[in-house]
Amino acid sequence: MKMKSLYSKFAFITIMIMIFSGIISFLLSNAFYQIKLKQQNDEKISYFALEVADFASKHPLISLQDYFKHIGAIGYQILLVSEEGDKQYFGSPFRKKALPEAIPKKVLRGEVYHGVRRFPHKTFVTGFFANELTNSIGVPFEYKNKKYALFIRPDIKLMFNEMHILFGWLLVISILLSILLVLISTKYLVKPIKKLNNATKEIAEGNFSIKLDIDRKDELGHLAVSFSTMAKKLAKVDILRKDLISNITHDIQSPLTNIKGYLNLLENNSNSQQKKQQYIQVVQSEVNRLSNMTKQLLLLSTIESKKDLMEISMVDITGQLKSVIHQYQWSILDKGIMMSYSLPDASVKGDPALLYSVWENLLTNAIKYNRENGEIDIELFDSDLQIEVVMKDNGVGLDEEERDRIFDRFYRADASRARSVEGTGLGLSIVQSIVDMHRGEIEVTSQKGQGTTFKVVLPKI
Amino acid sequence: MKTILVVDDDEYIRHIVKGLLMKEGYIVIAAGNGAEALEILTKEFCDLAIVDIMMPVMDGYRLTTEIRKSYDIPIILLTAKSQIEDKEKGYESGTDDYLIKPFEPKELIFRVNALLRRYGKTSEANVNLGSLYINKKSYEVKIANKTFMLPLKEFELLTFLATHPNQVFSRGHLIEKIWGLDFEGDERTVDVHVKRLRERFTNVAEDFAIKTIRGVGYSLEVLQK
Repeated sequence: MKMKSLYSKFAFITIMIMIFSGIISFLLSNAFYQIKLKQQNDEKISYFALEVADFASKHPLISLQDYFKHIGAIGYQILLVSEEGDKQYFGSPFRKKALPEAIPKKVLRGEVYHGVRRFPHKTFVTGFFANELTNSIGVPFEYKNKKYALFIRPDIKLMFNEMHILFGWLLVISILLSILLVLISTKYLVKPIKKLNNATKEIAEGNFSIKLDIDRKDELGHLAVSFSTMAKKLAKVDILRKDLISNITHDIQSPLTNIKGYLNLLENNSNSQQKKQQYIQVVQSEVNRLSNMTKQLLLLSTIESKKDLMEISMVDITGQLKSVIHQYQWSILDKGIMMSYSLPDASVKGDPALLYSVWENLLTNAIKYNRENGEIDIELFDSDLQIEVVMKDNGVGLDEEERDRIFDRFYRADASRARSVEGTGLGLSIVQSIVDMHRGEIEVTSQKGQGTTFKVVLPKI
Repeated sequence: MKTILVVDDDEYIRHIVKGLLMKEGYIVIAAGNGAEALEILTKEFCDLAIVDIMMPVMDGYRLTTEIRKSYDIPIILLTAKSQIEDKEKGYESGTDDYLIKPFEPKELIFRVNALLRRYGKTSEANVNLGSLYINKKSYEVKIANKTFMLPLKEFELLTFLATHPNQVFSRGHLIEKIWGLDFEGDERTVDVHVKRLRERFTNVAEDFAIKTIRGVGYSLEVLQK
């Protein structure tokens, strides 16, 4: 049988376990009977047998026939063998009457026959219930000067019939109930997995707004919670992705439209030289915009793929900061910004190219979101355990909500201004992932209209 | 008029750079590769060289090393590679500055102007006034451990005033000295720049101050503590 569903597998396995454990427990209890209980049972029945025999030999006035008939009636199976070898049965008959000839003779000679104790080990037969003559106790006694051998065993069927039925029902009902409950509980266990599976399919088809009505505290419940969290995150990423695509499309389309338009104008030869120059300038600045954007996207994808293969070496942070300042000196001074810095020599282990882009991003932000004649200050604090780079500007600043979101991918503070200032909204999330990769921390403090301070801490160990 | 040598195997880039620099009033000589550039240098005097890194025959690093051997002129390396390893290699071969393609025309002009200004001033004295130290070559101001990079005119104004401490200058005089005779703005420009300098240094420098002398002009005074 091929079982494809987890449900049928689970139910099948559980039932198999029940059957298996039933067999094992039967074998074990049988073994327990053989080793321990058989002896006790033998002693108990021997005691009855001796009592019965003793009574018979002491009361010669009572007819043996009547006496054993009576004993047989109250729940014993009896074989009476006389000196001459006559056999008389009382009580309900034995299922198997075979008994080696030597045994009654031995008993007649005065030995006690411990058939219960001697009853052979059989795997699937409990000696206790074996309704056989060999499974009895034989005792000798004298009655009216004649020797007799008395073979006796309790009539289990008679004595325990109701209990038998009771236990039988108990067993049947518990087995049926277990099977039923296994089927039901398996369904209950498997159901959330089915739900999760369906939810996965939904997500695969791009529907992230799934709701899982799985309310459990176990591992499946945890899985469902994690799954919902994942779905929410995926939904967020999906929204960001769509935003990015629409942003990028817009950001690529609008310069391209401009370039196309101005190229058309340039094609027309009747323009004056001055106008042509103007058009060329527009085209150039639009090309720059495109170029910057692709650079940012490239860096982001580099970081994504670089996460596991950073090229670690000793990085001269002071040198990097000075080099970044030098690189952007022209645009700093072009905006009339005063740049101040105090940079003692400091190095830290890290990926030089990635760390460089941290300083580059922070500085270009400080320049972009500054004001005319503003100021930027960079300070470096070196200690045994870490280095701390503090970049402070007195530019436009951020309000609380903006400050909480600036590290989000594609987020750009102040949407109305974002269009006029170049950028993809990727810079700071790039910065944060690089700092994280170096097990560092980045902190931002800002006040709207007062300026923003970024503090990057990089551990040395 | 200063002459600038532009070396790039890309004719289009040569054309753009040439156009930009000529608009700024420079004389430009273009070369298509390193060997050609070295040949030109033997015949013509150039004040500055702009060199592309990726070139056939002789690359920019080697050309820079070759130029350094025989000529004392500033060099700007021009490249499309933005890796900092390349930058280090560039500085090792002796370049003075580095510019990454694609560049802002303004940036190129800024760097060319800055380098030419710096190279002409090797012998000029630096200004040392109390805690204030002005490096005229690198255009940097130092106060205590802090370095300041000021916008050009502010730097020149501060440098001029600091070179003549406690001397009073009229607005007209300052305009003439710093902005030049052909400056078309009014004297308010000086006020604006002085105001900015004051703002920038109020909390930083305690041993000098730019004082307004009513009816006359400005003076940088050294304060006794």
